[in-house]
Amino acid sequence: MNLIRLLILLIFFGLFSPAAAYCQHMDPKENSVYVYNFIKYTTWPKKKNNVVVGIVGNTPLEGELQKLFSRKTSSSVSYSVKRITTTEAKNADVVIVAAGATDQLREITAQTAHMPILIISEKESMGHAGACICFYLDEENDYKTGYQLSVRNVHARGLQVNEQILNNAVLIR
Amino acid sequence: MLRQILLIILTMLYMAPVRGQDTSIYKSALPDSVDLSGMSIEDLSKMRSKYASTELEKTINQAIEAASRKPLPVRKTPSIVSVITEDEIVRSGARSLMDVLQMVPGIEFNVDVEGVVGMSFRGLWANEGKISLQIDGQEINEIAYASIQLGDHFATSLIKKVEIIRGPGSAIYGGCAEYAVINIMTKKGQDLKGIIANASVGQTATTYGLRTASVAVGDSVKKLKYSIFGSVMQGQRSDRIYSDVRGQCYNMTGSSDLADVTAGLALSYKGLSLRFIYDNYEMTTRDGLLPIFTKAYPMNFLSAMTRLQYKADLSKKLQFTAAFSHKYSEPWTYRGTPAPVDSDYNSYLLHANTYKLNLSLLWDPIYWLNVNAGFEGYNDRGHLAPGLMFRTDNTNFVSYMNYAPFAQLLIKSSFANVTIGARYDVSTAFGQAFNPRLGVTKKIGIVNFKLLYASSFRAPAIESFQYSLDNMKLKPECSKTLEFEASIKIGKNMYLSANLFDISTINAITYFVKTDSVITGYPDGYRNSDITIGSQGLELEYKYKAAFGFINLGYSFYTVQNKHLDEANRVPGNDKISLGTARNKLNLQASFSIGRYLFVSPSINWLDKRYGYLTVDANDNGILTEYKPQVIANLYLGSDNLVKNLTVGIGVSNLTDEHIIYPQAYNSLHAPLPGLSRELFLKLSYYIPFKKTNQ
Repeated sequence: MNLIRLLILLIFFGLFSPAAAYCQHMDPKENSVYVYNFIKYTTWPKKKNNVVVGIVGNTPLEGELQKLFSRKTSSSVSYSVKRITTTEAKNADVVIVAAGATDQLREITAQTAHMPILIISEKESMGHAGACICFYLDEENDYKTGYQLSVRNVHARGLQVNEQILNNAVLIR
Repeated sequence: MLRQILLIILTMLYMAPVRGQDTSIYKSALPDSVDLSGMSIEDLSKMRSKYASTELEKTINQAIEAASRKPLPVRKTPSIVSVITEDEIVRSGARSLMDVLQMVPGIEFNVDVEGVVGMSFRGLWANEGKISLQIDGQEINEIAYASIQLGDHFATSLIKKVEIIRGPGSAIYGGCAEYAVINIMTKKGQDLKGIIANASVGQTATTYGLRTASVAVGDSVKKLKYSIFGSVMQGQRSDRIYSDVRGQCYNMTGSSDLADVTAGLALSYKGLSLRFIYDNYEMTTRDGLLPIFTKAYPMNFLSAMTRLQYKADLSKKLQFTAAFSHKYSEPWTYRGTPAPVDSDYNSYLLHANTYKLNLSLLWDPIYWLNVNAGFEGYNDRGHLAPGLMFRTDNTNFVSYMNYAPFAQLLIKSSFANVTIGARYDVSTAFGQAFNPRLGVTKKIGIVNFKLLYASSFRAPAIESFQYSLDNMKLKPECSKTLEFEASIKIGKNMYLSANLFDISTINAITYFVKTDSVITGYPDGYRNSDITIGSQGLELEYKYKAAFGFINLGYSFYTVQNKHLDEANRVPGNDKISLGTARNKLNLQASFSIGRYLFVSPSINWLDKRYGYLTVDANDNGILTEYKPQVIANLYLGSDNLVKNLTVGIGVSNLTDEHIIYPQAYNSLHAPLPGLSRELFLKLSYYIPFKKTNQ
């Protein structure tokens, strides 16, 4: 079946052609405000006076969050943003896994199982690897930034998210 | 040939620009985070994206309504889909639906009888009850035989887009969508927001070509949307000489007139909508069934369709839809008395009505599941004019009921998205038909895959049923179709899809004619074939849209080598091809902008060699003829807004003056019907927007 062979060739040529190497970028400024809201509308089992945001991997979101939180510290809650390793994840309240570091997500999930840590992935569809929230670019809506929410993963960690987060999310397992 | 086509595509892929979305070239809509930090998640989600989808992305991301009851984008919908947009139609210079469908892989045009040209699909004659042709979701196939008539029919100036489901649709649409569904979506109030008037004239070397005029008015005022349109078309099938198989000839100029009058009304207010469509297609025919007539006779196809629909959101997750529709049809009408010598032509007038009620629920009980379930019931009624009788029931009035519960589940999972659905039709005419479908769609990287299986059927229409051979009770024709598609979006401007298909049809409802050896009793009529017929093949669609314009490439290939065909559809001595259709079809359509206001759009439609019967021998047996490949080249030069709100274009269709033919796809000894010769045409369109205060 020459036709089938040619079809397979076509698909793989498409996959690896220079034109296929194409990607869009999320805006870290926009994502930092999303993260701020996620923290604001998430309830931890114990009230937090200082929310530690740990970043795994390289992402411009780190700088944007630092800028944002430097102006957001109030008398009741303060925020600290720092780069962490997977083993340090258990000491954070929020762990953001950079798009390039999602291979470490399973390890983070395993090490922090059932701990009240909001795990956010910069890569979409990482709910199966334990992420509570995953950013994605909505290709069908002008590449608008959106987020997926795994209610199961959130609840497994003893966290509660309010309707603000729930109503605007694309729900995933 | 195939290798050459693929080579072209691969070259285009390789040459495609490597261009990530460079954010620096976009002015960010975002101020600093600090300024945004007061925004809620809802505010953020409503914020405009700093990116913009390209025209190509808009095309492939738009929700397709025809393929599943829940609108889904092209790549996710569980069907093989082609979408032709308004922009592509306008820039191609297409004037009638036939011009548009010519560009769709798998679709070919063949003569039926008495001047009617219909469609074959994937190498199989598909004109009666196998392709559902819809306007805004209302099926326009006539009620007597469920056939479609093409050629200067359905003006393109009123079309917003055309969705073509290149695969079975019975699990949703029932017994008229066995092989494919074509849904023409017209411009509505929100698309028009003003008045648009269109006109076109065409001229061949010897006579007039297609002349059209249309006007549409529409607006959206708060929650009320309305549109009204009307169009008239007048043209000719051909200006060449038609010669029947016995060598009798006539000049088709003036004896193959085609005229169409269409009008429509669409109203919607909140969940309530009303749609009315009137279509009167009038032909002049002289080619007859076998020998030509001594003079040209008129033939008329009239349809009037009304649908009243109410959609109610019972909750955020539950939507209820109730629709009542009525279709009136007067097909194949000839009211006069033919000359005694033209005994094959008869006076015929059928008043046919279909009353249909559809109730359905669309429910999202949980985020990974969408449920659609409902019921459709309809009544087909046929009333022949006094003096005429249905052949089987020996009466002039028949009425059939059809009841069909249906259900469909769309399941999202981490493995893949799965569609499971079925429709169960129970008819007082033909009995039962159960049609399940299963679709699995999966995205891996930039490649989307679809694996689809569906059962589908053709319900015998009123006259098929009544015209059955030896009074036999026709069973529904049933097809099993397996399809696999892989599609790739490459960059922001390029899309390539390729699919394989395998169709097997049992109980094919076939018209047996005098030439068949199995005929007993009546001289001709329908019966279920004993043979499982079918075809296999491959289709490709390539789209490249950028600032310069677009390039669309379509290719289709089929073979019947591993399948069977009825005797009437076979090509003696060749087990790979069916009668009247081309195994390979290639379309290339492009449009290039010239400066700010002008564009030039060339297109080529290439059909591989076909077979048919052009003459008979001394014993009146058909002599098989091979028709050489056919190339139809068109060129259109248009301007958009050169004068404000005015679109003007001039084009040439059939540039090389190819001898276009529509061969018969079954052996009924009808010689190929010629098409129109080279035609020069002019198109005008003027838009008057309503003042914004009205909107």
